[in-house]
Amino acid sequence: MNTINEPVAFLVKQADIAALFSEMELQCNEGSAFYRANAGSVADTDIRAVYGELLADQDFLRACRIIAQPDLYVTTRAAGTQGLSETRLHRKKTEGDWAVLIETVEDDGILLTAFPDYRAYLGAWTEDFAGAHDATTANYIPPRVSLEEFLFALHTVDSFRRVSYQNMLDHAFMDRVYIRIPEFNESMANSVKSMDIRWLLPAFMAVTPGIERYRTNLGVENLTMLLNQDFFEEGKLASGEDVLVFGEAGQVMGVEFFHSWLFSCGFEINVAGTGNFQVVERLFIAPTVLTNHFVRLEEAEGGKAMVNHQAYTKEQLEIKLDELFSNAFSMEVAPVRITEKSSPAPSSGAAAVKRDATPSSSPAAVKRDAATSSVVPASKNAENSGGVPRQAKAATQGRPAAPVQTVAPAQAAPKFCRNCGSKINLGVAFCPSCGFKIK
Amino acid sequence: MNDTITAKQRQRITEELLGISQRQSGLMAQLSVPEGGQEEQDDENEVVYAQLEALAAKAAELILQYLDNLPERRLSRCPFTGEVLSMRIDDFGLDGFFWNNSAPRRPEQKFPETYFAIDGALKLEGAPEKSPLLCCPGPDVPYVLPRLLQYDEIKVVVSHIKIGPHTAYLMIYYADPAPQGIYRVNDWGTERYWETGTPDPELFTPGLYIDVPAEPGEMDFDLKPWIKAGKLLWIAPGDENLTLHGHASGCPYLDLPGSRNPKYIQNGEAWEFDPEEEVQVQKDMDEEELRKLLQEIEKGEE
Repeated sequence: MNTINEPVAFLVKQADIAALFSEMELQCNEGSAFYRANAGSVADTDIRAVYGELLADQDFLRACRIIAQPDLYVTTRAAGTQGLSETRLHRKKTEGDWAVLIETVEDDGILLTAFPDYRAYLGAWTEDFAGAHDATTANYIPPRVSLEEFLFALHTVDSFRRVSYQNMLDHAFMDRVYIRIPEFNESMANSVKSMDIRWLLPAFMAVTPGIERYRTNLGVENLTMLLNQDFFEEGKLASGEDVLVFGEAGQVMGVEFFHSWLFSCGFEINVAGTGNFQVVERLFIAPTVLTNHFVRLEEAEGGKAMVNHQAYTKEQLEIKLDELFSNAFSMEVAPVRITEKSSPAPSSGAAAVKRDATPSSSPAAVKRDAATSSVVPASKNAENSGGVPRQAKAATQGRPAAPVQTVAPAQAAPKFCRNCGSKINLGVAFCPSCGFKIK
Repeated sequence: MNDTITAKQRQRITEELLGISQRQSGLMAQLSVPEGGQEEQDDENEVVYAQLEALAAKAAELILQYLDNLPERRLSRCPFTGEVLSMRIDDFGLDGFFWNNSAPRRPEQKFPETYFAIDGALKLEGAPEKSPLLCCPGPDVPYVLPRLLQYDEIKVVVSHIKIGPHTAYLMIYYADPAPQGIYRVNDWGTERYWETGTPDPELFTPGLYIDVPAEPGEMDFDLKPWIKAGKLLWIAPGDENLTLHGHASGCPYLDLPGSRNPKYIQNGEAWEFDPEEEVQVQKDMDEEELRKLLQEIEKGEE
C-alpha cells in the first residue's frame, strides 16, 4: 500500500463529485460527507477530460475510496471570527492509516486533504487552533456535572460579559458585579434560542455535534451548582431584591472569556458498528489566553449527558486528543452497508488540482488555465516552472485549511457576518448591520 | 465474616493479635537462649516451633478477618475522570494494625486507574490511643508535595475523614496519564508504597514496595497558590456527594491551626519530629567536618 509522509491535498468542484465517483464506480455510505448530496442530478461534464490526470493518480483514487466509504468519520464544527463551519475527516481501515479531510472552500470547491494518519491531522489541528499554554490553571467546573449544570455555567460566563459590557456603556464601576435573577433566566432562554456564536453558551450548542440529541431540563435547580462552585453568591440589593453576585469562579472565567475567547470547536467521532455508525466521542474545545477548555460529553441514563470539563495545557490537550482518537481509530469496525440512493450528483464544472496542503490554500490561490481547464497552484510552483500550467503533486508541511463552510451532510446552520458577527438570513447579499458584502 | 467489622470485633481482633505477638516474642526468646545439649535443644525447639506455627496460623486467620471486613469509605474523587475513590480503611482509631507504621496491615484496594499516591495528615482530638504499635499519621494540617505537583499530569485532591475522634485529611494524588520515571510517596502512615515500576520499569516490574517518605522540608502547607494553579482541588468535609471544588474562596483547608511537623504516636503518647532540630544537628556535624577538612588541608600544605 502506498504511503505519504506529508499531507497531500486535492481540489475538485463540489458539483463534480458525483460524476467523479460514478467514473470510479464508487458509491457512498452513510459515513461519507457526500452521502445524499445532490442525488439524482445529471452530469454534463466530461469528467475524463477535466480530471484525467487526477483519475490516474493513485493517491487521489485512494483518497476518494476513503471519503466515499469510510468506516470511521469525525465531524468537526468550528465557530470563530469567520462564522460557523464544518469539516469531516474520513478513515477506511482497509485503505490503511490515511485520514482524509473534506472541507468546502470558496467557488464551490471541495478540498480533500489526505493525512498519513489521524495523528498528522491532530498535530495540524492543535498547531493551528490550540492555545499554546504550558501552565495549568484552575478548573472551576471539575468533573462531573450534568449537561444542564454545564449550560448554566456557560451562561454565567456569558452573563459576566453581558454585565461588563453594560457597565462599560453606563460608565459604571462595581466592586461586586451582580445580575438580577429574572435577567439571568430570561437572557439564558434567549441565548439558547439565538445560536449567536459570539456568546459561549450558543457557541457550545452550535459547534458540538449531536448536542440536540440529549434531554435537558433547564430548571432553576441547576443554579445550585453555580452557588456551590462559587460562580455566584447570593446577594441582596438595598431595595431588598435578591441578586446573584459573581463569585470567584464566575469572575475569573468571566474575565477570561470577556478578554480572550475567539474560537471554539466541536468534534464527534463516529465508528461503523453493527447496522449503523455509532458515536464514540463528543468533544468541545474553547481555547483562551489562559487555557484550553476541554469538554467531553458522557452518555448518562434517560437520554441525558454528563460533562467532564478540564483546563488543559497544549501538551495535555494533545495527549488527551491523541488518547481519544487512538481509542476510536483502533476500534473494531463492522462492514458498512451501501444503499442505492447514496450516489452524489454529477454536475457541470471544470476544475481539478492536486496541490499543497497549506492552511492558506483556497481557490483564490489557484491559477486556472482557461484553455485546458487545468488548475495549478499560483504561488511557488507556478513561478518555479516559469508559469507553465501543470498538475502539482506537492506535499508540504500540511495543515488543514482554515475551517470553511459546511459540507454536504451538515445541518443548516445560521450564518453570521464575518465583519461584525451579526446574524444574517440565508440568501442576503449584504449584512443588515454593517453592510459588509456577504456574497 | 461477611459484614463490615464492628468496633467491638475490631478491638477483639487487635487485642488478640497483640497477645499473639507478645507470645511469639516470648517463644522467640526461648529459641535464642539454648541450654543443655544440642539434642535437648532441638527437642525443645521443636515444641516451640510447633507453638509458633500455631500462633502464626491464628494470627493469619485474625488478620484475614480484619482485612476482609474493614469498612469501605468513599473518600475522594478523581479530578480527571470524576470517578469516586473508595478505600477500605480502619477508621475506628489509630490503634489498629492498619496504622502500624513499620508493618501495616492493609487490604488490597481497587482504586481508579488515575490514582497515583495517597498522603495524609491528622490532628489529634483528645488523648492519643494506647497501643504498642507505632503510628505516624503526619502533621496536624494538610500539605502538598511540589515535587509531584510540578508535573502537569498530576493533581491532588484534599478531603476529610474522621479516624476515631481525630480529624484527618487525605491528600490523594491523581495522574492522567501517569508520568514515567518519577518516585511517588509512601502510603499515608506507612514507610512504603507499592511501586509498579514507573521509575525503573525494567528493574521493578512487576512491582515492589519501596520507601520514599514525604520529607518535612518538601511539604508545602500554603495550599492557596496550588488551588489557583489548578493543581489542588478539594472536597468539603461531610459532603457525601464528594463534589470537587476548584475555587480557593471558601476552602476549609486553608491556613488551618496546628503543627506542621510529622508526629508519632505510641503507648498513649504523641511526639513530633522537628526538622529544625535535625537540621541543626546536621549543621553542627557539617561544621565539625569542615573544620577537620580545613585542618587536613593546612597540614598538607605545610
